[in-house]
Amino acid sequence: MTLRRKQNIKLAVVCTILLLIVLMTVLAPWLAPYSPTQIDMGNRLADPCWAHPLGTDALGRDVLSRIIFGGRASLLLAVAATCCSMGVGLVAGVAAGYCEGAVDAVITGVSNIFQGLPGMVMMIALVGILGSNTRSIVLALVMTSWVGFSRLVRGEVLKVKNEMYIEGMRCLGAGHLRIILRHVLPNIRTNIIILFTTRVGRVVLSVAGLSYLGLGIQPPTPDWGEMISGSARRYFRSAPHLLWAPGLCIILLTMSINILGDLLRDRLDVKQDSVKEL
Amino acid sequence: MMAIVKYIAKRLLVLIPVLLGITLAAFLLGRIAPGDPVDDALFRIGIEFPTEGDRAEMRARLGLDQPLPAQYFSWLGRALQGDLGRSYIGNRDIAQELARRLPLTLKVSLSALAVAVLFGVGGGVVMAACHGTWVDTVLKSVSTLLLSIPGFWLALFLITVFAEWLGWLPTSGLDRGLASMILPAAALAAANVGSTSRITRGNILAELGEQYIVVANAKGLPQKAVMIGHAFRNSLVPIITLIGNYFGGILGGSTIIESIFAIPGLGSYVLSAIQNRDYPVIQGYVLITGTTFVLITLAIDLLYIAVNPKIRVQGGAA
Amino acid sequence: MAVPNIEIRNLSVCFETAQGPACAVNGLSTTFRAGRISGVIGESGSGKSVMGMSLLRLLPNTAKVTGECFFGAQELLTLPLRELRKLRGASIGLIPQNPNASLDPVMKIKKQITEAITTHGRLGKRAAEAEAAELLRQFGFDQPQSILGQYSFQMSGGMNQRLVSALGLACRPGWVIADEPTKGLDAVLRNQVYTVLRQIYTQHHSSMIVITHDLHLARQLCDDIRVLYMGQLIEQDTAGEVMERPRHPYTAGLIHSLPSRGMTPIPAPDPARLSHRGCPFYPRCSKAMERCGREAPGDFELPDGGKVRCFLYA
Repeated sequence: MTLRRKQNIKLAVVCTILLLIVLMTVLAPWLAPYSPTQIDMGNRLADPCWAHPLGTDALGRDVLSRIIFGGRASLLLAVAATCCSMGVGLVAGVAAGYCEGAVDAVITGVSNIFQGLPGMVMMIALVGILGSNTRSIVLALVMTSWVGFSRLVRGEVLKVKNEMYIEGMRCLGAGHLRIILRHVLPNIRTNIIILFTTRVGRVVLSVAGLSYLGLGIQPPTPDWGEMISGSARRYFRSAPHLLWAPGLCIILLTMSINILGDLLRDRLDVKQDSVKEL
Repeated sequence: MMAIVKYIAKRLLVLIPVLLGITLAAFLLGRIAPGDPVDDALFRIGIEFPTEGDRAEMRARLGLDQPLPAQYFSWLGRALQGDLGRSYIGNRDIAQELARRLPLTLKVSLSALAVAVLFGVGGGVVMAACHGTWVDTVLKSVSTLLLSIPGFWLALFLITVFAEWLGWLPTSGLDRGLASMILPAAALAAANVGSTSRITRGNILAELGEQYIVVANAKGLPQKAVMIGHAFRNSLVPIITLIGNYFGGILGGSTIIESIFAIPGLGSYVLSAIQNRDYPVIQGYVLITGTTFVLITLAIDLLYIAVNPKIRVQGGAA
Repeated sequence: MAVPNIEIRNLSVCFETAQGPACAVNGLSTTFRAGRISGVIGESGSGKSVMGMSLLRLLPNTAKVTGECFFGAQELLTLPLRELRKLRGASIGLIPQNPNASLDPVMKIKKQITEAITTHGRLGKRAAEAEAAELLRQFGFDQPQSILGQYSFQMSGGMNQRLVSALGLACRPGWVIADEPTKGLDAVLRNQVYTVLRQIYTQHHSSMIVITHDLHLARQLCDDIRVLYMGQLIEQDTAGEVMERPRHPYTAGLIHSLPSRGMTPIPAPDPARLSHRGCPFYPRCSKAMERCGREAPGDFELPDGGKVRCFLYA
């Protein structure tokens, strides 16, 4: 009982943090004291002070305002890309698991190949060649993470499909689509939710990494990863606060997401190995 | 013995489509690149305003007038002979340049893998042994933290602390031997230390619930012997496969780490190639890292033989 | 040194569940006498295996164990773990249930048996290996050397059963606890197990606690039988008395449900009697009196020395 209690408290804290981050990014235009893109060359690299609580960056932009705006692009990108991966993975996984035979062989073969490609390498190459815009980043993220969903879904579909009650449904004359929508998908819901959560956390990190390389979110759009690469790399000796603030934001966000994933896993009582990291 | 041969043969067979997939991906990356390769090639030999005739001639010379599959196979044939073309910038032989840089990237990545295995598995064992105590709680939080830190930020953080403030380790380069390897390997391995330790912990705890552990305890074995001799050895079987998967992430992450620590490996090469739109280099990079990944995974798979007697005896399921 | 008795006093084992504590063993007291084979019978969930495991403290941490278990002068439940480990295997051996899952899948049989011997420091590695081979020969393996070099997944279920039996006896313990040795085995293997246990008793002079739901095995093998129902000891007597003249209505029901004794099932619980404070068997008892629902019966001595927990014998 006490364990439950502890988990509840943790869950509440993590959800509050995530909610605050989301609110902050959504309400950014009203919360930020300055425009995140307003350049003030007369006030470059200012130390934290009353007017600029987190100081200013190399172009004199207010760091606090950029922090408040900085989660927008990557969070949106991460959620959108993970949704797309989930969609692709769901369709591929259901098709492979439900149809079996040749369809399954082809999809499993293709996902083996995708699994054999190192994810970050492919992302760097794809975005590098197609240019860093939202479309190519999402494409790269989806290409490197749909396999996880598809494998999970395929496995679960195969498992559910062989249950007696599905056979019963079929005997009662239920169509394939009905069986999939009403009986198979609800069974894999919890696993999908957990994988989705952990994925979003990973994708936030990947996007930040790409932004750091200059391949992710492009300036002048404020972004935590870009803020670190944009100014911190050059000025982290003279103005280390430029490095700390965005970094801590990324850590807080991904850590909350990761802990949320863990808690969901505990709460929904899923065996750890069924949502293996892929 | 036959069983082992059978197992290795099976693994190799699975690799062939994956390797082909990697070459296909590398090839297609070159095809989807923006810009007309014919114009680019003409521009590079100094023809800025080509005629239709020039272009047709160049198209034939580049083999671009043939159907896509034919192009792929001739590209693949050349790649297999070690000919990855020449870079647009500097007109250097790409294969040679990659071969020169690969050892550096491998050095960083393999040290990171070693760090991940050592600290990840070690931490996982400690957590499982201290299950339910404060040590477990603290280490579990640390592993979640490691999983959530962006590698590049950790690298900058480590540089600030260990190189700038304490002055113990160099900020960049590779000229101080092992010392210059510590920070890059640590930054690169951090996330994998986090996930490996969590998975090791979970696997050992799962094994500890098995009946053979009860029996081992009933023999009167000391806790250490039960933990290491039985639970840990069994938990290694699934862990080893996962570690192979992590190596892919390490290879990609090494691109970022190389750029931070100014290590002249594959990563810095591909980053400058991206800036210069030097597509054949990017293709070569995908080809060589993909192949490396597959080969290292294979090597790790062979370790699997050592920990899983079922494969030694029966050939096991692939 | 003479082998001491195992004396259990007021043993309770409870598990914390989402619905509150659930007790598998409820205030159980009995003495297992050295030199005899004592059977513990009861249906699944009656707490018999939990009782056996709690003697060696092999239950998961979630189990709350209270009471006392004396092994001679030593109290097993509060003994320091270090001391208890010296007893495990050496003085009290375990023949676990489910032999296929009881052997480590990645360790050779040789290591599994020899480590049981060497950990108690009685023999060196070499001597222990020779001992292991000898042990296997006693358990009917003609070529012990080849078996020792193999893994459990290469063996049949019957072979693994003999292997875990050998494992439990590796240190020639004075006591052996055999936990459901025939669970899930076919008739041929059951006979084999019977032979093995009998052999252990005659050759090694081990005292034994045989936990089983196999009434035939209990009848053939045991000197005494204890009957457990819902964590309580409801009847104990010699095997002959229990099997031929069962006193408690539950024991009688259990024996009459055997195919050879008429195959009459024990009735399902009477819903009207479910909530009560009396005898645990009250809801299913065909001979229940009004008193049985009100108060729990104590142990009543029988003229021949047995005990039964039923008001019919008050």
